[in-house]
Amino acid sequence: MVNCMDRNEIINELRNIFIGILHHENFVMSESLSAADADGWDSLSHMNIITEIEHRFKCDLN
Amino acid sequence: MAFNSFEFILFFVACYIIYWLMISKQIKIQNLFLLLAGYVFYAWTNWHFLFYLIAFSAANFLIGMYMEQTNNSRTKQWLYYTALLLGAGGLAFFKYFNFFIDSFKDAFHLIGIGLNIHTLNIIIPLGISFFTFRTLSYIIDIQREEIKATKDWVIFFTYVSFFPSILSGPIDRAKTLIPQLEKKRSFSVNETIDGLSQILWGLFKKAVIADNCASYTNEIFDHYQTYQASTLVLGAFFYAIQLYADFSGYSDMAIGIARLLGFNITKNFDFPFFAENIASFWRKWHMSLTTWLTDYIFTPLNFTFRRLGKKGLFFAILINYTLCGIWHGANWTYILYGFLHGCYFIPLIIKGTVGKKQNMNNNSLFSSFIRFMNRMGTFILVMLTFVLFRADTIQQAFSFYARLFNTSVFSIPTIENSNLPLLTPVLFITAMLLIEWMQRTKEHALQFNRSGGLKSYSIALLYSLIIWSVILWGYSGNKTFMYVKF
Repeated sequence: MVNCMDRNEIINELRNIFIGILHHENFVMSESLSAADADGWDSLSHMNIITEIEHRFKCDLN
Repeated sequence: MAFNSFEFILFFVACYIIYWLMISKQIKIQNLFLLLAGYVFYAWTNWHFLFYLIAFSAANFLIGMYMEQTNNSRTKQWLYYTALLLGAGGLAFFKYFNFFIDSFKDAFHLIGIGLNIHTLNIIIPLGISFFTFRTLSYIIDIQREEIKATKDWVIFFTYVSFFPSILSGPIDRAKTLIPQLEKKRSFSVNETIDGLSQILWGLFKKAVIADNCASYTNEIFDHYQTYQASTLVLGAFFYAIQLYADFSGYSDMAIGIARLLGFNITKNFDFPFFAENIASFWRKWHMSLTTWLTDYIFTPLNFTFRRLGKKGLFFAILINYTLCGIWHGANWTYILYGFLHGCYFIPLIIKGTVGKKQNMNNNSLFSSFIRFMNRMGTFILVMLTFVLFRADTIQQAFSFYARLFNTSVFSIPTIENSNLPLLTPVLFITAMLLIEWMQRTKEHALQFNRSGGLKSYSIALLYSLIIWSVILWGYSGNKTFMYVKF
């Protein structure tokens, strides 16, 4: 799936994942976005984000 | 040397004068002075373990520095595991060795094999769980490249032995405390007033609430077989309040003392008895331990088990809270205490609401009936597990529970000791909970905004009442804090 997506599409997909898990859009999507920049990004939502990324992009983030 | 003792007041006043009036311009001398003060404070109770503390600090300092310097990943890995072994090994030996031996013997005894292994006469170094967790987080954060190792041995040794929090926490992380030790601290009147207010609130909770509750809990728990169920419920309630007031009182004093020295150390309690579920409770109770365990135990476990979905989350939580129980001491009561707290998460895991934070910032004085019931329910669940915390053995706790659940729970509680009137502690507990409820969005209960909120004469009256309560009702017999033994 990743192979046929360009950079903007990947970032857009990641943004949708973040919105879906954090339940808000109050963050600026960038490559340097971190847990400190988005409300509600705690240890549990972090794990949900990782699991969802692995699921959507069919990859392993070990 | 407990914070609420006369000798500590003398010690701290002398430290404070030297720190701000004589050496306030030189950070290095200030840090060296804090280190010496920390060692005097630590050695006051038992000087023998000072050598362990110094050697332990030195080993971790050197390992951290070599981890930083080496470019060889295998050497770094080797140093990392050595430091983990050193920390975990020290804890295992001092805190858990005899427990392992006894449990091992009991297990073999059950299958009819008698083992002739002897336990050792081990004295646990004060604060070992707290300063070991500090050094472990320092080493793990270096390994994860979240921080850089400090090259200043005085700063590192001071970080490990920082006297306001060495005996009972909060468990400060290197990334919180070390940058503050590297910067010049400047005297601030506002910080001083705020620090003194937090110390006063901590002292009130310790001397007026916790130590007075102790008389009741000791009477009820020591003679629980003679009391009816309603009195045992009262005993469990008083113990929950005692534990909270004692430990959060200590933490408030530690944070206030650190603030007087120009430091902002980690918050440890955020009014946990107003939590609406168990996940929220643990975000508010012993926060420095909860976040430590979350970062270094729960998150790696949750990552490992992530493909198991809700089952994986449950396993990670269960292991995390069982370890949280074991951290408190080598006793099956603590293990069961942690295990039960892990099990309390099951409904939240099923509903998918473990990570949902409650909003404490609503402006209404009274929350809805449902929220109130959630708070009551959470408090009762936690209170019941504290019986395990208080009991010496699992059998004793179960015997207490067995007497708790019968029809006499609906009778009026009575205490045979006539020197213990029930009205006084109930009034003070109500006052404490009321003040904390009104101040629940603040850093601590006696933090007031200069603009808005209570009028200055109301604040002055409140402070006077608290000070007089400490003088008149503060129990002077018990100087020790409950969490010092951990």
